[in-house]
Amino acid sequence: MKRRILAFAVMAVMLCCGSVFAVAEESVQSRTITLLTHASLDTPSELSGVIGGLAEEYKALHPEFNLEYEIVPLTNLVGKVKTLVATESLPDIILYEPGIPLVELVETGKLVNLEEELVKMGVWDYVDPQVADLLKSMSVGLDEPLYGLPGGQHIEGIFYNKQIFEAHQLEVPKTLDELLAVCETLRAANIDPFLFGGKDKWHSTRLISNLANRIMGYTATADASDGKRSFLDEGFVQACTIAQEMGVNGYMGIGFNSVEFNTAVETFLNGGCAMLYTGTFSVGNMNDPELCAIGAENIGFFSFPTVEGGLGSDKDYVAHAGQVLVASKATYDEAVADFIKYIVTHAGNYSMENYQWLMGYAYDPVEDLPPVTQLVLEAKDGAENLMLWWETRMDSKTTDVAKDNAQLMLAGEMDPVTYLQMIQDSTDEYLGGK
Amino acid sequence: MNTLLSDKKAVWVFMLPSLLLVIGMMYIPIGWTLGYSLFDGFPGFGSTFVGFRNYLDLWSDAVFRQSFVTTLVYTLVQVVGQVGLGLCLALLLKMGVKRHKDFMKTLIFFPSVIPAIAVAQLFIKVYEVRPQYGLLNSLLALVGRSDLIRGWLGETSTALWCLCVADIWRFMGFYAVLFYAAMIEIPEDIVEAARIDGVNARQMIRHIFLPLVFPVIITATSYCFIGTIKVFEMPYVMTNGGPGYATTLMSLYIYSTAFTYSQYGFGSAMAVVLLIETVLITMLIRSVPNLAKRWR
Repeated sequence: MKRRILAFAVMAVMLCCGSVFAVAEESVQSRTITLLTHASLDTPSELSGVIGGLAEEYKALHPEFNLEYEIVPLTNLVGKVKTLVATESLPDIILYEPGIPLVELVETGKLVNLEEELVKMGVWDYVDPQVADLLKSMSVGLDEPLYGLPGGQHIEGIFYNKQIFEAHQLEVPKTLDELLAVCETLRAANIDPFLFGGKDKWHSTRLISNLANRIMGYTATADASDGKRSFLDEGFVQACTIAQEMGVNGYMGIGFNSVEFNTAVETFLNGGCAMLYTGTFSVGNMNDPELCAIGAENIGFFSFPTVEGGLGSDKDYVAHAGQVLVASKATYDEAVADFIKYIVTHAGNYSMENYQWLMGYAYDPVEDLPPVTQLVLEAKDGAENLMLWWETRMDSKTTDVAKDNAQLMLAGEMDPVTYLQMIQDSTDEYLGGK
Repeated sequence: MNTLLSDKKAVWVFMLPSLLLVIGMMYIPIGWTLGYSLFDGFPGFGSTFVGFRNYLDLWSDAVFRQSFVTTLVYTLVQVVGQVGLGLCLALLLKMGVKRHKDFMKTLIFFPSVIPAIAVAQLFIKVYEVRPQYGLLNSLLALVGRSDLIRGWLGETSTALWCLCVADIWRFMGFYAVLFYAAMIEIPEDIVEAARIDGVNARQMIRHIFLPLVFPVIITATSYCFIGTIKVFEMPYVMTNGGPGYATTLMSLYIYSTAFTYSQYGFGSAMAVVLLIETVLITMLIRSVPNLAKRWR
């Protein structure tokens, strides 16, 4: 009898241990991870597309893993997240807006210090240091840890149609005067020199920030947003005046205020305009023969021209790192940490393989890069300073003031000084309330 | 049935579910909004009680003032367009179309069942200038008026009117069918008697149809007004309030203020002003028959 009791006791202990180990083996990957993003998980050249692809790879390695995601339009993303913060229901991972929105979210204390976590996991070196510094300068400051991981590594410049340039005996412009002369020649030949996606507003304001930074130096726009200089400085007025002349003279494309950015890209790829200001997030489309009717080998690239007497250099590029990956502190656990580690260690290679461009993470060297990628990679490697764009360090209201009224200013319906005064007033209101 | 309906408890039992739904889905959110309008900032992000300051600050906000006026102009154009053209279509159906009336009614009514987003995308294509000309610009090129080709939704002088055309096109058929239904309810002997007396078409419309359909016109006008003053999807999709603030209606500005600028209290105050404006103007519209009687 005693032996039977002992045998049963041993069996019971062994069963309990077995089930404990079984639970322990499932615990890391077995729960559902929730993701909030602005783009679907098959969007090319976006971190959401990378996460979608890597999630499938991760699931193949860990069948119990499951990713649930919700898509919110970019314009609603910040508001949605604030609502979720107020109701204590943030998802595990969010692809969020860098800049001021990220600063506000960090200040709530709801986000994980991802730099610290990646250092603990021994994978911080996978994050490109240049991109990390760019993200910090956009939001928390260079001396602070990084809360949002890169969602891209993009520089911006002017892509041009070589055939159109050759047909009109045009040289690649190095200075603003040369650029304006090229635009005038093309306009006279009834060709859109540029096509800007003015309906998306941010595309048009890139023209203003490039001009301003070329005139006053690469930190001009950021300094004005931080209150270190005024938007009414002579350089900004000059930049807006030049931009307005370009808009009114038709250099930005006919009807540009009604054109979306994607339409502008599509028009360029089909030979509908001579030049396109965009970033390396469009490189995947340019390398795709199905999307690029003019052919990748027909596309050239140059940095935004310098302004005579200006402090900016053509080695300064507007740069950004896409939507950043942040993690909620409330639900952060081993499962989320392990998935984020997988993203950080594989995103670089996935992006280069599938989108022929960088995601802000280390990647293995690739031979035989597509033509446009090779072109822009050389430019990126030669960059001296990475600039922030017009709205980077503006709060959301000032951003809308700057973008909405840019449409009027560039169409000649608002005086540049009035435009800049509105931005300055909104900036003063924001900085005064801090 | 009479016994049942005379029992007040039974009446309450039948009414209660709908009443609870209306209170829960309408009146409680209105009360919440009123409450939020007395605070500054965004709930959960350090909002503070400011009393009625938001209401006072509204009128010094240039964008709010512009959106207030733009909304009134847009609504007025929509009411005149949708109800006016709907009435014209109904008269055409009643007096002009002799055959295939059912087919014509379906054709006229069809746009009102198309989702707003689809109509918005349709008209974006109609007004398009890039990557190729849309219908409007193509027609202008065809008739030799290339000088008029432009980005219709990207210019302040044309954007709002383009929105108006889209929304009028969408709903005038709805009101046409409504008015037609009211017209066919007019006793035929009145119409016949008028014909025997020798009235022409214009007199028939002025003295027979319009007076007898007048109550429906008032109801349609108030429905049209209430539906239009809070419109959101069409301007959001077609222009997103641009260029500048040319098509920023109050609903769009409320949305931006509350959810983009995180000024929930300020946005709520605007929403309350919109509610009061809607109620007052609706009461004014519905008082028109009484005013007309007194004037006569």
